[in-house]
Amino acid sequence: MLFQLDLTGMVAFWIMFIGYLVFLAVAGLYAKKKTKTLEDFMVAGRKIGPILLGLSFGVTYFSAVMIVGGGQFSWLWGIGVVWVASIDVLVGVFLVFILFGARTKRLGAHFESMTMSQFLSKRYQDPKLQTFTSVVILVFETIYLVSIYMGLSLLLSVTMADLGDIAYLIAVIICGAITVIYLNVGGAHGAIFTDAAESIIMLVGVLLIFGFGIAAVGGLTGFLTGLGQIESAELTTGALTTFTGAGGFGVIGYILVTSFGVWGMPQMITRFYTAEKGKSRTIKWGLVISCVWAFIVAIFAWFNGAIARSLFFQTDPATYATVAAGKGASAVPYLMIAVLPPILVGLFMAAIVAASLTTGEKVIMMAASGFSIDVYQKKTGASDDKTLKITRITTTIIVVVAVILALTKPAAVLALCMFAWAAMAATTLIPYVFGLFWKGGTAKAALWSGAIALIMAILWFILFRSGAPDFWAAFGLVYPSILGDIASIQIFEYTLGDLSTVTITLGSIHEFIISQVAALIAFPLISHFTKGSKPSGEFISEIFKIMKTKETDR
Amino acid sequence: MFHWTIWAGIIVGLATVVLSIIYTVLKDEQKEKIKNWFLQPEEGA
Repeated sequence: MLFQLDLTGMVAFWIMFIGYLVFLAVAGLYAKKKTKTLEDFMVAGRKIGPILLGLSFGVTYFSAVMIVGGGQFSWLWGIGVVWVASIDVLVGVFLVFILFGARTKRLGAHFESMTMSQFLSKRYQDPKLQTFTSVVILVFETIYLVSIYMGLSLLLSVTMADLGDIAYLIAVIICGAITVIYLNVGGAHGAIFTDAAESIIMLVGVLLIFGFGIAAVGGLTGFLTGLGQIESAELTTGALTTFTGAGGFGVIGYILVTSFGVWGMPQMITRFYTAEKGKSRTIKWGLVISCVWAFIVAIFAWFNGAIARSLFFQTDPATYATVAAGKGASAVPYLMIAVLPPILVGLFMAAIVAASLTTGEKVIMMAASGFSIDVYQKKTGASDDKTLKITRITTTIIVVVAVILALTKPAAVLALCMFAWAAMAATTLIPYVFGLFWKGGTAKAALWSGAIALIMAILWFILFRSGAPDFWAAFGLVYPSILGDIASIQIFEYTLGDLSTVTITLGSIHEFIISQVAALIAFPLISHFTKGSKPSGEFISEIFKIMKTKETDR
Repeated sequence: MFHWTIWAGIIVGLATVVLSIIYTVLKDEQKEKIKNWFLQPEEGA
């Protein structure tokens, strides 16, 4: 358990949480009125305007997990993580909108695709691609959901500490039940409404923690002085106050993964399918709204862990030791307790729980459609109405499975959680990006480059990454020491600017980067040798024309 | 207190926000002009 809320905090938490449930009920009923067809359920009828699109994109990217998780990285790596925030906004938001937004929206509407797998199979004219990618998405999104539920329920169970061990059980069931009811009623419309609410909650929460935190630590000067003292006492000069600081290549790798990873995430890319059809303003203004929101939230959220470290080091050695023992994972919750009035701690914790539920909603929709649309409808040719019913049933089944797994915590599933999103994004990114910009790509190249990327991501993780020993242990195996020796082979070392020495070892390279390099080489190469599986020239000309067709706002 | 790690990072983020606004308010013809200006060498060069 992370920490204990006091009575005021607990009351504030439950008032806020119940308030959120009331909001869900109202938003769900409103969304229900707008949800009549499968297209309404999956992509909100392709009618979402710029404000909701921009906020929904931002929130899907920087989910509430970042408020707590981001804090851990800045506790460990210091202020250099401000670059994670900036590059994420540049590559993960700005470039995604500019490069892929309009093209994905136009082609998605032309193909009438509601899932990423459908989009890829229609682009490359190969149904096998739909089956393959949908199975990958179904499996890994479900696993990803388990990790969301586990984190969420741990937080929620803190508010029911008196109930003991049963608190976690109740928390998991509450999370699952709320999601099933809300999603079945409101579909994509409902998910987007909750995104908008979450975006406001996150913005206010992050700014409050930052504002109270920086004031408590004595402003920017006190903040940096504290980090300097920690460097002198425990680390080396510049470890917390430079780029890359103590993180070394880890920071650069993290920047690459969190920014480029978005390019292949189904729940991110499908945001563009919801944009209103035939109007150019949605993507253009959605871009501005998303960039502004993401910049503010990311910059401040990434600072909070470092603020906690500086504050506790200077004022509260006991808390400092506790958080440091957990490698900074609880930095932000402890900072909240230390600097916010109890009522705000309770309110904000409820907000984090609520916001994480929203993140789970989209993950479930991706997983459910992976079966209902990409497998069931494709195989049986069922009508949209029938498929909508199956989607709702699948949604329920996936949540039940995720709840059971979150409760039983099988070691193998926990191990898979470690690279669920990387495996998913690795599979779809290269076929998707090449599909939008290169006329020469073939169906076989899309299928095999995706498969190669997936295999590379999994193999690299289980052989060389720092989480590998835990993965092997989950299956009752001992991680061979020779693999550890290979992982620690130093590739090169350099000194960055005035400050930190960056050492790159084989095992420090993220599996996502390795998988994408492999796919980047494989895709054009396989395309060259499999020209027979290329869609017809006529079809290619037509879709590239559609992608470039300008829209008006009349 | 000036600290380049913080400020340079923030400036990159802010510049992205400004770029997104410029990209949105510019008309397609203006974007085309800028693109051509970058891609085509000046006459006689």
